Amino acid sequence: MKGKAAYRAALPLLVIALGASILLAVTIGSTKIPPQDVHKVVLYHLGLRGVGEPEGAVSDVVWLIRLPRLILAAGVGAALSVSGLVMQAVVRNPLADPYVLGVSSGSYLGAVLAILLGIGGAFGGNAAGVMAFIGAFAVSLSVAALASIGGRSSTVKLLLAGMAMSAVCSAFSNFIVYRTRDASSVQAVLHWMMGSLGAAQWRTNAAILFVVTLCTLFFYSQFRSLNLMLLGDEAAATLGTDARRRRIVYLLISALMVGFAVFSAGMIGFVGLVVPHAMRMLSGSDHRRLIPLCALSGAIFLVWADVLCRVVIPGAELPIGILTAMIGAPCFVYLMARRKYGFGGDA
Amino acid sequence: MRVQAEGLRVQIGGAEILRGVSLEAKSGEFVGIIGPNGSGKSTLLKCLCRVLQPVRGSVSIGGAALASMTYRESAKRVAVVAQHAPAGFDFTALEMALLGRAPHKRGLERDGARDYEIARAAMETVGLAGLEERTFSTLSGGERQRVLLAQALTQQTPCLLLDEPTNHLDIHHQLRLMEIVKSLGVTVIAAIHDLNLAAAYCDRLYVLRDGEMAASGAAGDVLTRALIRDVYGVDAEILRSRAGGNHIAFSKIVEF
Repeated sequence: MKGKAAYRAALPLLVIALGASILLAVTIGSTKIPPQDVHKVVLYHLGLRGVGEPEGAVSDVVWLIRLPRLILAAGVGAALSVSGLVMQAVVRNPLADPYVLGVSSGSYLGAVLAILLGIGGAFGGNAAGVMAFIGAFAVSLSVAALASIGGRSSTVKLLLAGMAMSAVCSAFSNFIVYRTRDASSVQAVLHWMMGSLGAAQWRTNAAILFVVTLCTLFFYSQFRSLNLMLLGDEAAATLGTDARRRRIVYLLISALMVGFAVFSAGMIGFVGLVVPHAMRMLSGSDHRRLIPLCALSGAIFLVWADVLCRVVIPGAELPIGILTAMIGAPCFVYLMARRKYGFGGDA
Repeated sequence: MRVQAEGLRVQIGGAEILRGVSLEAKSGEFVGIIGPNGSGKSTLLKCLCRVLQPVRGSVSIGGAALASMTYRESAKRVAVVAQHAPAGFDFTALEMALLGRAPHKRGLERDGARDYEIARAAMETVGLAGLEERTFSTLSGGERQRVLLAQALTQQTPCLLLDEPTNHLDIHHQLRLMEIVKSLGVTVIAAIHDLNLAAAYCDRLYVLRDGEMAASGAAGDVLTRALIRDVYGVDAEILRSRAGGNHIAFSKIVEF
């Protein structure tokens, strides 16, 4: 049992690696702070008052800026990876990612409406995020509804409905962007599209972590059905699972989780595509192993991606979506080039 | 477990594929469905495992209506060997066999030692011991077909449906598969192309033509020169083999 042994070893290692990554990453930033001071702040806020009260400015940088951002990175990374994994099973296609069924264009439209037309101003500071969440979820609902017209949903109907909704939303968004004469707000849309974890706060983090944990646990509980889905609807039915009904439920729960990720960090591509495939290489196609593996490694991946974003250009920050694509795409090509892993098919 | 289908009607894309087909398999009986391409054999099997819902008619298994069962319940009664594969993804041969345990598992319950035992035994029964860790996509067509049989065996159901089970198999493994299935003592309903194989192993045969039952009964009574000529449009001779069975030798196509 190669896959099983690898899994048993990898799981605790990944938990330790995630903890270590966050503790290491929190010492890295544009403001030079000695690592022992950084960890003093973390320990102090975690309730260990014995370490002594840290200096105010240092405390603010570490506790209010750096750490929330890393926690958000971990949460969003886990959300995108698990969601990518689930969507690949839902549409039974290894090329799927969290955004495949119109989520990206839906959230794009939401953000464009908020940033360029000021719709949703009542949602306050992160109106773009809220509108993007609404856009993503509304499009997923429409895709689910469209795919169910004329009988039960199939993977092909889902993909076609997703493409149609994507085209419509992109067209409207592009029209609005095209008609906007104000270059700076167009710049804002562009910036938003490329993703950033800069707006992280403890309060929203708590909500996001809660949703991501809940959704991930839900998908973990569905591992058997996810496995059966890979065999196709007919085989799944004869093995005791109504894949057609579950597919819609999974799609919506995945959209909820991705919606929260988009709300807090914009669009971050490639994580949800590359991480699931990397984990399949490690431990095979069994979702009982893949869900925890993807959640943990996705979290670690995005923590380090965010660190790189902050240090790669001195004095400036690279949008994380650009970085994940820059790292992710070559990784993906490497996976493809390794003949041993044929993405499951007969390569 | 007794399987009974009554007056099944199925329409696909406006075409009537089954026009009121009835079928019965008694407990432990090996029933074959034969008929030319497009006669509705696979469609009939799909109705028996609720992959397709007939517009009319009903199926009962062990006295209970199939349509009123949950998918899990029906999967505990009927296992299917058809041509399915995890397109785009890959499982190992043993993982594929283990998926047969799915209907017996609740929620978060993991595959235990007992499940592995059953799956490994099934792999051995179909002659694939040693290939457990090979990935499904790297197996030959015949090996894949046997993995799917192992999956159905792992499901441990009182009824087994086979859709062209001997596809991709060489003659040795064709006979072996039929022997394995026969030896299980469960109710078997199989759609079979090879008339000689059907004649040799099936207790009774149903002959489908254009979505209707053309004939049914014991193989020796059903497979006559006249019926083969009538249903398949082929001239055949029924020979007596030394072992005492009938053997059909096909000679030429006759125009309808």
